Amino acid sequence: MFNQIDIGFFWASFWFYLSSFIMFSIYAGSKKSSAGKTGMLLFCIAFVLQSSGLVSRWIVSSHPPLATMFEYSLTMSWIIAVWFIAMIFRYRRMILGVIVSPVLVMVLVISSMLPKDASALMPALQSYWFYIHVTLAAASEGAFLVAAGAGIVLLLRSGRKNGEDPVISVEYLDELVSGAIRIGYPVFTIGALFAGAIWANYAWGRFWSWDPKETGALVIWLFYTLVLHQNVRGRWQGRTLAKMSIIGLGIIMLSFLGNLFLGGLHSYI
Amino acid sequence: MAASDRKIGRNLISQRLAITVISVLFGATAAGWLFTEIFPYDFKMHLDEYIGKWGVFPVKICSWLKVYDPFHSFWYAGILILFFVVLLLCIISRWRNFVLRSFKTAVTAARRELPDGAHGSVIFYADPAESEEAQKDPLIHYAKKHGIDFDGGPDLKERIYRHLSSVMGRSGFRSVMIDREGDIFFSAVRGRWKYMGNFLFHAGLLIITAGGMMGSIMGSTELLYGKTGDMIPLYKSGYSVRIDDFRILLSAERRIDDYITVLSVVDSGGETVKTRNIEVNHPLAFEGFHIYQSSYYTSDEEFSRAGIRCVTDDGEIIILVLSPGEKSFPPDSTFALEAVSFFPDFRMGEKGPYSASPMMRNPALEIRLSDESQVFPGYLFALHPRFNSHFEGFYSMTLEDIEPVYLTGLQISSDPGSPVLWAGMIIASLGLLLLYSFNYRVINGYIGKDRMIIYAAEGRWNISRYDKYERIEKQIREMLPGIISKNV
Repeated sequence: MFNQIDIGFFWASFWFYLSSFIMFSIYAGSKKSSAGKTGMLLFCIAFVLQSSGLVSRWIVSSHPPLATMFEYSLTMSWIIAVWFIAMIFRYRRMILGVIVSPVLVMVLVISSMLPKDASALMPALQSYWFYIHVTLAAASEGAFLVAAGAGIVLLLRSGRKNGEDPVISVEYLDELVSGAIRIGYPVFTIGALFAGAIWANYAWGRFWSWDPKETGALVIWLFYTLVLHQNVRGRWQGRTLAKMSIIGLGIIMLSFLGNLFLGGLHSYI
Repeated sequence: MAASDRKIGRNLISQRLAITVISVLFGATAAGWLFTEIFPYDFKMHLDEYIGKWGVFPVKICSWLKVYDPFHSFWYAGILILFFVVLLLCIISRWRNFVLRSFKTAVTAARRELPDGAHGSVIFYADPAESEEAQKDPLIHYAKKHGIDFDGGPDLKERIYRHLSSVMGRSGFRSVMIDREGDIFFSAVRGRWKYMGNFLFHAGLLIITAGGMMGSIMGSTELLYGKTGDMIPLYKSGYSVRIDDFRILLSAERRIDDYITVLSVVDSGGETVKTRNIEVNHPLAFEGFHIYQSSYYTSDEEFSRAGIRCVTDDGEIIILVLSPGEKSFPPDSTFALEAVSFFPDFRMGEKGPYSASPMMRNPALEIRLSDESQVFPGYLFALHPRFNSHFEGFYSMTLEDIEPVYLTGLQISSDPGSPVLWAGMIIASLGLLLLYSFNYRVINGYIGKDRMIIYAAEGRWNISRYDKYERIEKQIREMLPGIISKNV
C-alpha cells in the first residue's frame, strides 16, 4: 500500500490546487478578500499534500523525485508553489494566485497522464550532476510557465474596456512576465544547458550530441535570448511580451513531451 | 575611412544585426530539430529508393542540404560561424564601454528641466511670492530662512549635493557631479557590476562557441566494443588500453545497477602504465584521451557457458554443462551434444536464424546432437522450454541457463576544446551571476539657483522599484525642510 501513497497525495493535492484556483478566480471577479483567503488556505493545504507526496515518492523510489517525466513535472510544480508562497509572504498580493494556481493545475493535469511507476536509477543517472541539472531545469521551466500564466492574464486584462477597476494592473503583469523570464533565463542557462552539457560529458563522453532533448533545450534558450534582447531594447513589452511568453510555453511543452515520440538519449524518462 | 565603410561597420555591431542572427539561429535550430525527427532516417542508405519515390531533383536538394543530419550541414555551420563573428564583433566594439562602466560613474544628467515622462520631482527652494529675496535668489533665501550655514552661492549648491549624495549613498548609490556654469549636475549609480556581468556572459558564450568548434574540428570520438583481454590502441599516441575485466552489477530486483570495466593503459613496450575501474559517469583520463563506460553489448554467436537440463525416460534429471567448441557426452547415451551457435534475441529470417538485438530478449542455443552415423540439429529456447525440446532416441532437453559473452562499450574521446568549453561555461556563469545579482539603476539630478530636479533615469526602474526611488526622495525632502516640491 505504501508504494501507492505518493499517488494518493498527488491526487489529493491536485484537487486542492483546483479548488484554490476556483477560489482565486472568484476573488479576482468579486474582489472579496474572504474568497482570496480561502484560496490561499486551500493552496497551502495542497502544497503540504504535494510535499508529502514528493517525500513519500523519494522514500519509495530511493532517489530524489527527478528521474521520470512524472517526477520532473511534480518537482517543477512544487517549485512554482514554493515561489508563489514566498511571493505571498513578500508582497502580500493574493491576486498572484490567479496566475499561479491555473499553471499548477495545468502541469498536474499533464503529470496525471504520464506513467507513474517509480523505478531505480539507471547507471547514467547516478551522478550528482543529474540532480543539479534536473532541479535547475525544473525551476527555470517553472519560472517560464509562470511568465506564460501572467502573459495569459495580461492578454485577458488588456482586452477589457477602459474605466473598469483592475484588480491587477497591466503594468504589474508586464513586470511579472518580464521578471519571471529574467529569473528563468539564467537558471535555465546554467542548469539546463551548462550543467546538462557537463553531465553529458561525464556520462556519454561528449558535451553535446544534438539529441532531440538537447536541441529542444537550445531552441528554448535561443527563443528566450531573443525575447530578452528585444525586451531590453524596449521592443517586446506588454501584449507582445505576453504573446511571446505563451509561444515559449508551447516550445517548452514540445521539448518536455517530445521524448515520448522523438526518442534519443533522453528517451528513458 | 569612407562614410559607407563606417556605416557597414556600425551595422555589423548593431543590436539589430545581433537580434537578426539570433533569430536566424533560432529558426535554423528549430527547423533542424523537426527535420531530424520527421525526415526518413534511412534516406542516406536508400537514395535510389527515394529517387524513385520523390524524383531526382528533390533527393539531390535534400542530400545537398543534408536535411537528414542538419546540424552537421554546411548551412548550419555557416549560421554558427555568423553567430560567432557577430558576437565577436559585438564584444570587441563594446568591451571598453562595458568594462569602464563597471568601474567608473559618469554624469549623464544634462538638462535643467525634468525630462518628459521621467519618474521624479522638481523641487523649489522657495515661493517667489514670499519676498523679494525669494524671487531674486531663492537658494540664498532658503538657506537663511532655515539656518543653513551659508558662505556663498556655488558652495551652498555643492553642500546640498553632498547631502543628497550621502542620502543616496545610504541606499547603495555612488554619485558623481560636475559644475556647469555654476549649476550642479549629478548622477548616482547603483549596480554597475551588471555591465561586467553582461560582458563576461557574452565573452563566455563566445569562448563556448570557440571551444565547440575546436572540438568538432580537432577532436575525435569513437565507440568501440571489446571483451576481456582485448587491446584497443589509442589513436597515434603509442599507447593502448587493455580490457582486464567487465562486470554488470545487478540489483536485488535483477535490474542493471551499474557496469564496470577494469582497464589498463599499456605503453608500446607492453608495460602497464595505469590501471583503473571505469563506470558510467566516471571515465578514465589519460594523455588527452578520455575513456568512458558508454554501454555494453551481448556478443552474437558467442557464449561462455550453457547449462542443459536433460530428463531421461525414467524421469531422472541430468544437468549438462556445455562450453564453446566442446562436446559433452551424456551418461547412458551414444550421442554427443555440442553447442553450435548462440542468439541472444532469436528471430527466424528468410536466410535463416539471426539475433535481432544484443539484448537477452529471446536467448536461443543452436545445438547439434550426433553419434557415429547421424546428426540432429536443433534449437533450445530459454524462454520457451517446451518448444523443440524433444529429440528422437534422446532425452528431453531444455536450456536451463546460459552465460553470454558481454562486450563492454567504450567511448574513446579526444577533445582539445574541452578546457576551452569549461572556461567558457565558468566565465558565462559568473557573468550571469553578476548580471542578475546587480540591478543597474541611475538617479540623475540638477541643483540650480531656484530649483532642484531629481529623477529615476536609465536602468531597470520598473514599477515595483519606484517605491525604492520614492523612499530616497522622501529622505531628501526630510533633509531639506520647507522645500516646495512638485511631484511628476
